[in-house]
Amino acid sequence: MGVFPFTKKSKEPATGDASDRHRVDARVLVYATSLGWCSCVQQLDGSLTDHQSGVTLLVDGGEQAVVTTALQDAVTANLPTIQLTKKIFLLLDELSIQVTGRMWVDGRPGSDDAWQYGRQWLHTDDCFMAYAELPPVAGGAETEQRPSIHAFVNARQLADCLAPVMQLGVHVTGIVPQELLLVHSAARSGEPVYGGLQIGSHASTLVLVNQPLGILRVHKIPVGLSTLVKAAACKVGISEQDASQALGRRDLLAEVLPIAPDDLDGVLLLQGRDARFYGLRTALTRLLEDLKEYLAFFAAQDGSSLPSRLELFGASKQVTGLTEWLSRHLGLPAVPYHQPLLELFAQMETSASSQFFSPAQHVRNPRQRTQTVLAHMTQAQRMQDRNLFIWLGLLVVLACYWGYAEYQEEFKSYQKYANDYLVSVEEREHLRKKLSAEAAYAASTNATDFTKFIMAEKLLSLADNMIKNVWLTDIYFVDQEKNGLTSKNARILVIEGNVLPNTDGHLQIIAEYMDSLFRDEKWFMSDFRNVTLKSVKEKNAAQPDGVPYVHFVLHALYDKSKRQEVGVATKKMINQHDQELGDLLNGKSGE
Amino acid sequence: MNIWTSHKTLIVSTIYILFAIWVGAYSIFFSQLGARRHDLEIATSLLQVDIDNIKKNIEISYKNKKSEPASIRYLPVILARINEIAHNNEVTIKNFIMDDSVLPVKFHLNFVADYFTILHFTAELESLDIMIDDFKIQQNDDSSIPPQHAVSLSMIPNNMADPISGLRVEEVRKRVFAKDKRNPFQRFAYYVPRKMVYPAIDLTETYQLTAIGTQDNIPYAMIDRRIYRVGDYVDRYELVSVRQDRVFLMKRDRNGSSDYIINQRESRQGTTEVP
Repeated sequence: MGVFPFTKKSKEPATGDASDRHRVDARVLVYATSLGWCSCVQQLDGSLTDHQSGVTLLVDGGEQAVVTTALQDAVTANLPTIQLTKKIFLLLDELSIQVTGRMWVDGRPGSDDAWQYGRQWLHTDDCFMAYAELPPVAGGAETEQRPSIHAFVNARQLADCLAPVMQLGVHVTGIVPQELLLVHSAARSGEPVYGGLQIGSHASTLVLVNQPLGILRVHKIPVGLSTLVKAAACKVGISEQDASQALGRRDLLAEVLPIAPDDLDGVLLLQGRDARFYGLRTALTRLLEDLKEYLAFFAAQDGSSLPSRLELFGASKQVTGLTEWLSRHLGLPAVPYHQPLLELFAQMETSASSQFFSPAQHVRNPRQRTQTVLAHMTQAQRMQDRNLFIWLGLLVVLACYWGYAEYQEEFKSYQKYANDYLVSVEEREHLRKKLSAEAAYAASTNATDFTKFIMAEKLLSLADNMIKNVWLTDIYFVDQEKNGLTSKNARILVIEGNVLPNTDGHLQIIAEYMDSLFRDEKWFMSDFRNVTLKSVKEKNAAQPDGVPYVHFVLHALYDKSKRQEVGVATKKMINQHDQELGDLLNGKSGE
Repeated sequence: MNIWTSHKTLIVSTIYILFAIWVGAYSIFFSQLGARRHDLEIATSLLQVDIDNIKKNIEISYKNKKSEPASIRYLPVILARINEIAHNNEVTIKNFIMDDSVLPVKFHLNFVADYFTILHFTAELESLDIMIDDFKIQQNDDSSIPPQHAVSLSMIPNNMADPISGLRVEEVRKRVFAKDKRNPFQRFAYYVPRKMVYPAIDLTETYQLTAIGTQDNIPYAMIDRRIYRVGDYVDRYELVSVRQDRVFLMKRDRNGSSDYIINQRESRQGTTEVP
């Protein structure tokens, strides 16, 4: 069995054995009755191999259950071969198969009219139909309608019988009612008038054929092996199983005489149509009388001569002495069919002249096909399959939903992380801007840095603006005196220095130096309001080279407010920035 | 058992298809989503660390700005910082007086140093949170080269005299460490015959130039009775040029290079002094 149904199956079997390849085109033949089963494999050359048989133990549920069990046992025993050959044909003689020799106006056997007739006969919505047609008479017209028999069986009943087999994965190719074998046997016998009796479990079927006249008659008699077994069991007081064995071992029929026509009690019993509790005599008489009546009818109604002998099929061998008893009382020699039934069955082929019950081909329209396929399955099977499909569907849906739910959970988690990431990125960007602003403010507008008086800055400025003729001697702060009072708030930077001689004059040099200081707004005058010349005196005694020079004193008036006034706007900016920073640290960022 | 036998193909196929769907869905959607989520988790945690650091920096900056200038909180730290600056500039503080009679607390200190040392010391001191209240530079020894000055200053430290930053402080620091600056307390040489000033420091009184000549067309100068040629060093001064009546020298130190000149000494009567 392939695991994947959609993969292409290989034409060749998996095993490369030659015998296995040969089996592919062979077919399995199974004959199942309530008494047991037998099977064989028909090879391509027509030979029969792998003969198997079995006896079905009694099971509860009636005849159909017994046949079903026998069929299941037979299929199970041949399962490997069936799986290899894919072809199985069944021969059945039970299941209430109804047989008729009626002919329909529309001509060919197997017509819709015949099928409709079968449905009405069986009182069912659907039925299987099989038929067998007599071969054409030598010298007759090809188009001439030939006699045939039709067999009908309830489709649901047959499907119930085949359900266990289908559960094993086996699809039956064809089912042949045993009555059709009698027609086939008649065609093969070569006798112009042929008589055959099929003894089944609960009924027997008489088939009478006059080939030259084109007459085919079928008559069903409600006496079968089971009838005889039950009658014997009831009469002797033993179980049916013991009675069945006794009928097979001993000739219990030798001393049984048919009920005479003047035996009124016996006649009444026969009319009561229930010979079950009245011994073998009653049952055998019923069989005998029915045979006689129908043979007489065949001769009188159809104008046919009687057959030279009566071939017995079915369970005749299970009742010792039945053949002789019938020969003795019927007036016709009764002979059992000389070949095993499976051999005769193997010679039957599906053709225009015969048709088996074919569940797979039992199709008349698509709607009917659907109904037929559904009919193949029992209600329990359908319920079981429906439950399986529901569970499988539920499993698929649950698995998909579980996967979807898991994915949703994962996706939500991903979304949360993505959101956290975006929030973090935004927050980081915001903080980085704040930090950059803070760093910029700290670098450019540091309050201490901005308002501070830096003495080194003044020393550098005094040096940068220095003229080569000038050098300084003293620098110091003094408090400014106003009106003779010293003011601590007004301070003066005193710059004392000397000037070497120059052709332009000392004062010019001093003036240029003062001018340079005045122009140095950034570094020197940023803290001083004014620079004034306080004194200039000539001095030369202290110099070793004796070069005359002049000593000057400059006053630079320190103005503390000058830097602060300039920084008012900046100070406001700093305060605003501090406010924003405070808001940020207090958790008001981004609001 | 019967269901399994009759529908084995369907059941197994359904399970296989389900498994295939699961494997496909896992590989296409689930695993990729998980990997992306993991990456996001790591990236977010790294971002959070960065955010925490930025917050700390902002908080520190904020606290620093919000802290009010107040009195000294811990004197040893301030003293250590002043001492470090003095040590770096090789300044020997002669007096260090703490005046806490009035607030804010003042420190008075004085030392002797040349101009560049004073400049470096002052600049480094002012790069701290210290306000110089009084400042005085007076001649101490103008005969030495460079001249030595007596410096006295008063300063008011704020808080812990922490280092401050800012554009002005940074620019002052750059200018202080710039090379080839002039020492404003250093007198340049005056060339009497031409009555002009050379932008060089006069070493005439320090070294005696006794002779100038050539030997094999290479000029030389005799200074303090020793012969020097261009490229030779007179103490730490490199002889860079020899003229008719003077020589030029150059000295390199941490403040860059300075030019020096040695003239022939003249007699008090105006004639050149020849030994």
